[in-house]
Amino acid sequence: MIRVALADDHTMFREGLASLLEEQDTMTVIGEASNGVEVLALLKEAPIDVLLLDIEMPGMDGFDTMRAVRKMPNVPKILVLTMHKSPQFIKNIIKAGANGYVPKDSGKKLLVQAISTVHSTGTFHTPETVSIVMDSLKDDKHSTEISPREKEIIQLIADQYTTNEIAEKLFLSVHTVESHRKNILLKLGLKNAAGLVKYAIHKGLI
Amino acid sequence: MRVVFFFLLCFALLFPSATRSQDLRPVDSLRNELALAENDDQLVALQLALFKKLSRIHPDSSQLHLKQAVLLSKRTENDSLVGKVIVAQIQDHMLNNRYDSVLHYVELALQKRGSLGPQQLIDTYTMQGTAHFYKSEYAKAIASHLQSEKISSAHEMEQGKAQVFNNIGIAYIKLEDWYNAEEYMNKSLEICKKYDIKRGISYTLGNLGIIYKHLDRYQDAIAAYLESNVICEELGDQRAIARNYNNIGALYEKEGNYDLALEYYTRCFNTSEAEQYESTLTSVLHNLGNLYSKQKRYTLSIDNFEKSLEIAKALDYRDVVLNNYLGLAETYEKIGALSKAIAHRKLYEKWKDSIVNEEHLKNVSELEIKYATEKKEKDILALSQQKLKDEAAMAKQNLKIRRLSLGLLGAILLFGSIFVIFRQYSKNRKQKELIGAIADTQIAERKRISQDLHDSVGGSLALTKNKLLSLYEKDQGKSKELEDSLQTLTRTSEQVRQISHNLMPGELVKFGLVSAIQTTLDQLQDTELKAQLYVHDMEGRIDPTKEIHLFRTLQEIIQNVIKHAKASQLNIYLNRHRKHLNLMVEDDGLGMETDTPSGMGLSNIKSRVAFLKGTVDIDSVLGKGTTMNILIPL
Repeated sequence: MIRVALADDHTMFREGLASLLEEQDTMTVIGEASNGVEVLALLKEAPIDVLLLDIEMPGMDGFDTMRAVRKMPNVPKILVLTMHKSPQFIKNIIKAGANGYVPKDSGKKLLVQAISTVHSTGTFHTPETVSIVMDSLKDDKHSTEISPREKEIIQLIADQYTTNEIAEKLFLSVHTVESHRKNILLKLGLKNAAGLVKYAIHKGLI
Repeated sequence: MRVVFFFLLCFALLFPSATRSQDLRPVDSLRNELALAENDDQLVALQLALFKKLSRIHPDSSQLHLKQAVLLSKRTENDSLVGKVIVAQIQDHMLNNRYDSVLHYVELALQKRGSLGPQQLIDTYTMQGTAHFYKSEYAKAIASHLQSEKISSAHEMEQGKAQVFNNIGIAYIKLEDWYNAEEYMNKSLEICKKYDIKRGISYTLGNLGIIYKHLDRYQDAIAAYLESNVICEELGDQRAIARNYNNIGALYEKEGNYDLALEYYTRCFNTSEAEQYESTLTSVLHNLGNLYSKQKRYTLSIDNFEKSLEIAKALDYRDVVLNNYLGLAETYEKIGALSKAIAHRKLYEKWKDSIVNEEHLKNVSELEIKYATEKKEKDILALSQQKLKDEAAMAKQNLKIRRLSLGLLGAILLFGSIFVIFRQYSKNRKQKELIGAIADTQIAERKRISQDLHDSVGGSLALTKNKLLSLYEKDQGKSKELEDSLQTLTRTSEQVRQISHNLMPGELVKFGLVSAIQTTLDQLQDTELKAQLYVHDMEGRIDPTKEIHLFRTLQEIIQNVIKHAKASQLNIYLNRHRKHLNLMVEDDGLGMETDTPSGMGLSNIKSRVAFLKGTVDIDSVLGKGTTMNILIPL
């Protein structure tokens, strides 16, 4: 018998979920909580195998709860059950230490499967979740690198163009070129134009 | 502050039989007869009579009599008695404001309509109409009352029609169909006058006052209230008199006749205070506050708002509390007490927020939110733009002051001008705070609506979908209807999620600017536009207000690029420097003429950046793409 606890601030949803799960012979709902604090209290009372955890809860939300639960002596398997579906959320949920993620509207079959799998193997992820996390690893849009435009400006500075001349050449205002210059120095940890020229030579830009 | 309170008078007698065929036997003799009753039918009749007698004086014991009657009626075969019992049950639910039960029992009664006499049938339809009215189902209410009218006409029961017509009239008032409302109210008035039903005359005239007010026939409205007061005097109904004075005052105020308005408000105040009609008192004090403010008698105005506020709080009349805060904020603004104005404005926003909080789930609809969001957006921007204009005007004024002081006198006048500039500066600062306060509460409100939509509404939809999915699996996909419903539900969930996201992206609230931008760029994935985000030192969070305004600015820029630029590459730079944040967006699109008058999009961007005390440069040459360079102090 898998001992399941539910944490969701919406009573109606929680009750609906509990009645769905109680129909199963393999699992039993041993406790319900409407926020993180109540989850911690539940954990102190009795051991829990799988915690179904919502993210959006007042006060102590799902992320806070995961952090706190991880410090407890008997850590249950955490299956996050949320309305959020965007890659940013899924990434952060996995990062925060969830053993699995299931969207709230996935249907009973998938949910029951998720609870059993996370209980027996320690993790559960749908192919969609895996591909989202993989995508975000290989194709991270947020880059700390130098952009083509920035390279262009480094080159022009190294070629001894003044800010005014660069602005004219690139159809930009002096302000914007100045901002680019400051950004480049900041990103490369450099102090002045001389450092920039050194960098450009080192990288083979000029 | 433009709110003037009118009272809608409902002349909906809930206990129609009370006005006629009143059983004249006293309670005691009825009780004695109970012991002597020979059969069930007599018992039921007596129990019913006792229920009616006691229902207003001893609700508890009247309930017992009704229960007895219901139990006994199950044994009897006398249909007309059964009908009477059901009608009594309807009346009981009506008295206790259980409108759904009223409607349920009305249906039962109508099934046995053969056993109901005409008066009982009229009562039944009247109560059905009244229940619909209180449930805000006005069209249904009218339909029910029209049934009553039909039966009254068939049986030539003209007197009862006074009430029926009045009930139809108030339903039309609620529907804001003023012409029909007037017609029915006049019909009711005519009958009331014919049979000298004084209470009816006074109510009907009051309702006509409301109708005339909405038709901008202020003189007619005033005449109606004055005539009503003559009757109320005869009836000794001081409460109605006070309300009528208040309404007359409001009408004169609307006409711009402040002296007469003041006179009638004062009469209302005197009566209400003497008789301690608190609800009328809080309303008239608020109206007085408004009037004094218009007359520039600010001390009196504030005094009256404060008094009204105190009573409204005690009565928990939230809309009156709200309007008093607004009145105080605006009056303090007028006298230049800006910190008090801000304090009251904040209270106003807070209360408004809490009222919205309680009610919004009841009437969340996509359109409403969209409309409100756009309008608020415009309001905030309009305010910020006004502030920009004010600043420009102020800058001009300052220049003038400086020239004068230099030209005329030396040091002494220079000190003077510095003083003036300082005052202007501090006034300007307060104005900024005011705008900030409004913008902050609106952001908070939006965040809350977005979360509730996402979680509460979304959660319920998800649960429904799960249940439907189980059904669908059991059904093995046989039912097309079930499949269609599932699809509709999935689409609706998606729409709710999208609306919630548009209101306030969850990523922005939980993880900050970079995550929110990434999500936006993820959504561009399937388009022609390739987007790249370059960030530096953005791991920590920045001030949430800045995050939100920067994110909205970026959204606006991306929208512009998609709509107009025909670009293939979009680069976004977000760099945190020591004292400022640099957001730069470059595209390789068509570019634009930077000196042409800017559209709504561009002016929104400028207002938001100005609100964050930042600067924006727009570099664009036709055919060479566009770069927006935004600096925000940290």
